[in-house]
Order: sequence, then structure tokens, then C-alpha cells
Amino acid sequence: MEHDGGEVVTPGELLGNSLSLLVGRGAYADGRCVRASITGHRRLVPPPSGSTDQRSTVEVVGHKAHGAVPQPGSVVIARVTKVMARMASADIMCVDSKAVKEKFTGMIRQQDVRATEIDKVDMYQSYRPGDIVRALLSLGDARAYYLSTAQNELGVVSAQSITGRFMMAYNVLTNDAGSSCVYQKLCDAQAHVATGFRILNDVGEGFALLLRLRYN
Amino acid sequence: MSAATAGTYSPAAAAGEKRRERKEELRRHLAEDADWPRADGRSFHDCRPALQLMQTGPTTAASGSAYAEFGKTKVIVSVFGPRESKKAMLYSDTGRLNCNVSYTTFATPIRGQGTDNKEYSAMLHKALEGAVMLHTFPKTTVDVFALVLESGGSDLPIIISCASLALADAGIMMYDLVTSVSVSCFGKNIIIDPTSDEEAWQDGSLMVAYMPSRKEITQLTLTGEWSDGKITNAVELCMDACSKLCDILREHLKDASSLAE
Repeated sequence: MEHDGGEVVTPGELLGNSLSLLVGRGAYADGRCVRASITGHRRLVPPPSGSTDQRSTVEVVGHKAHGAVPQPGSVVIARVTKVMARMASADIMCVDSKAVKEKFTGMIRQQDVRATEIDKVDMYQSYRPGDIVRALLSLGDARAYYLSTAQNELGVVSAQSITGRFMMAYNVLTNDAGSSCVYQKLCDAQAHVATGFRILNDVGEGFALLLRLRYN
Repeated sequence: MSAATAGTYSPAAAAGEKRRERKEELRRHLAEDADWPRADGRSFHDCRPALQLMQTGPTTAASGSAYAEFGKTKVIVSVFGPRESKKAMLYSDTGRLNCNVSYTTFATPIRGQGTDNKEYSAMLHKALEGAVMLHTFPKTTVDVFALVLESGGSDLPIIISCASLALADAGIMMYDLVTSVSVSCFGKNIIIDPTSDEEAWQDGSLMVAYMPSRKEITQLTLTGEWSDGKITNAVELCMDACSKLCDILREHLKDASSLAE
């Protein structure tokens, strides 16, 4: 790790002056003072080349930080636990790239499944319990976080078919290519172009394709 | 004549004198700025030693925990979370701090007496909430559970200091460490870090929870009888003791962090 050289600081300790330093992770500004907010190693990050601000950023890194917490706007990976007519509930497993330590419940409402024809969404055909979903998080209400999959790069990324085969989203991350690219890939694999939400295609090696209707 | 004298008796005018004198002496003792030795041998402005009996991470299941032992007072604090708030809670954009102080049944000399301190949970919450960056964990709750294993006086200040150590161990973002120290008032004298016996006889008490780096008081509790001039003195004494205790906590956190690597 890079933090080896930095001295250990504790919450509240002075890191420097905000006139010469920018506040990074694990630090906060208190008037003109920059102070640490967690225990860890103090590290200075030089300003990116070409930036007008010549101040370095000071961070506190290294020591243990608390587990990831869902923040509004973060992209999460969740496992669907229950599917109902108007919503599906899911347990959040990762926030951005970090695994969560505690249990957080998310809810995918019918209107958040996709961006178009939101009134025609059939929850039972969109998700099944056990599906791994990539979704955008908002704080939601007192009961659960709201998850939205209404973007091309969001949706089911991994699932099991009824026969128990592992399915993976194919080309879900292709933003610009849109539907034609997906069709192309499917055709290459000699898929049956189905009209349902799930298109299951056996490519032989115990590996199948999964696709949602919005590409059709 | 002598027999008659022997048969009757009259109380000596000076009979109560000795008792009164003793009482008077005690009063003088209290009224002076005398530094009589305390039961555990400390002088008035000596706190109980803390460093060698402090520990972070005794509860492995918790996100962070700390154990502190000041004289006879033994406290263990576990911090859980941030985790999902209970369903019954109202929606809130910022995080929540949930504090609970409990006593073991064997914490006090008389079994089960520790449950009298019901207000400690709320007081611990008040002392800590100003120091924790609640906006860094929206909609979630951080639980702080303090357990007093043995009550030996100045319980709440030790719980507060120990809880801030546990929060720092859990990696919860804080503006500063909170340390707390209490003093007892005996007549003209101020005694720092009182034991439970001293607390039982005190005229008044003052507790200060303080963030030394930011020079902010998060909580101040004043009870009992105080003459006005002494309060300022006592608060300054507490603040100074808090700063020194905070240095000890920082030292400890740094040691623990370098040991972990």
C-alpha cells in the first residue's frame, strides 16, 4: 500500500491549513483547519497535472473504515428475494465496488424496472428470486431503499434458469450499440428471438444468455 | 455531703464539646483548601490511571469496541453498524445514533442496583451526537451499546470516553474524539474523577464532555450545591483533564493501528 510513509492520525487531529490543502477522504474542513475524521495514515495526493488549483489533497487512509453504506446515486448489486405484482424486493450485496457488511433491503417498483412502457411491465417476467441485479439506488422510504433498473446498463446480470443453469447477461454493458448489436450477438449464437422478457440460449458449455425485453 | 454528691449527677457543660469539636474540625477540613488523602491515595486533582487498562476490539462481532478500566469502574462499549434502521423508525436523510447503557447485575455492591441509571442512555446519546458525522451514513443507524461491568464511580464520563474510542475503532466518521470527566464538590473543595463513595457524599457534581481539538463542549451536567465562583474553576479543570485524557486515547488508537499492520 502507498500509505506506509504517512503518520497515523486520529479523529479531530489537525492535518493542515485549508489554504494549502484540499479535503480528501477521511478529512473535513473546520473553518480554515483541515482535520481527520477517522483513524488512519495521513497521505498527500499531488494535484492532477494541468489543474488550476495547485493545492494537494490530504486523505486519511489505511485503517479500517466502517462497512459500505448505500448512498443515493450509487450503483448497487442486489439479489432479488421476493417478487410481487407491483414490486420486487432485493437484498443489497455491493455498493459501487464494495461489499456491504450488514443487511440492506432494496425495493424495485414496477415503474422503475425500465424506462419505456412502464405501465406494461410484468414483474414476474422481469425478475425471479435469486437473480443478481445491477441497479441505481435512491434513499426510498422508511421501509426500504428504492432500486431502479431503468437504464440500459442496469438490470439482471446473472441468474439461474428454471433448469438450474447459470445464465449471464450478454452485452448488457454495451451502451452505444443498442439493440442491433445485441441482436447480432444473439444471431451469432443462433438464438431463438423470443418475445418474452427472458431469452435463454444454450451455447453449449453450460452457459446461456439472458436478455431483457427492452432490447427487442 | 460527699455521698449526696455521689448519688446525683449533672451533665458536664462541656460534654458535647468533643463531638462538636470533631464535627467542627471536619467542617474546617472541608472549608479549607486542604488536600487530605483520598481513600485510594490520590490527591484532589489526580485522575485514576487509564492507559494500561484500555483496549480496542474486545468484541469481535461488533464493528468496533473498546474496554476501559479506571480504578474499579470497568466498562465495555460495542459499536454496530452503520446498519439498516428499524422499520418502525420514521424516514430520515441523515444517520441515526442509537445509544444504550446497561449495567450487569453484579456491577454494584448491592445486586441489581445499577438499573437506577436509566437516563444514562439519553445522556450518552447527547454527548456523542455532536461529534459523529451523521450525514455520512444516510438512513442507517449506528448502535452504541455500553455495558458497565463494575460500577466504581464516574461511570457516565468513562462510558462516554470509552464509547468515543469504540466509535473511532469502528471507523465511524467523527469531528473529534469526545472525552468526559466529572468532578465532585465537597464544601470548598473540588475532587476530580470521584469514586462511588465520594459520589455518595458529594455536595454537587459536574460532568463535562468535551472535544479537545475543536475546543467544544458537547455536554455539561451540573447537579447539587455549588457556589458560583467554583463552577468556572471546575469546568476549566474538567476541560483540561479531558484534553489530557484525549491525548491518552489518541496515543492508544495510534498504537492499536500500528499493531494491526
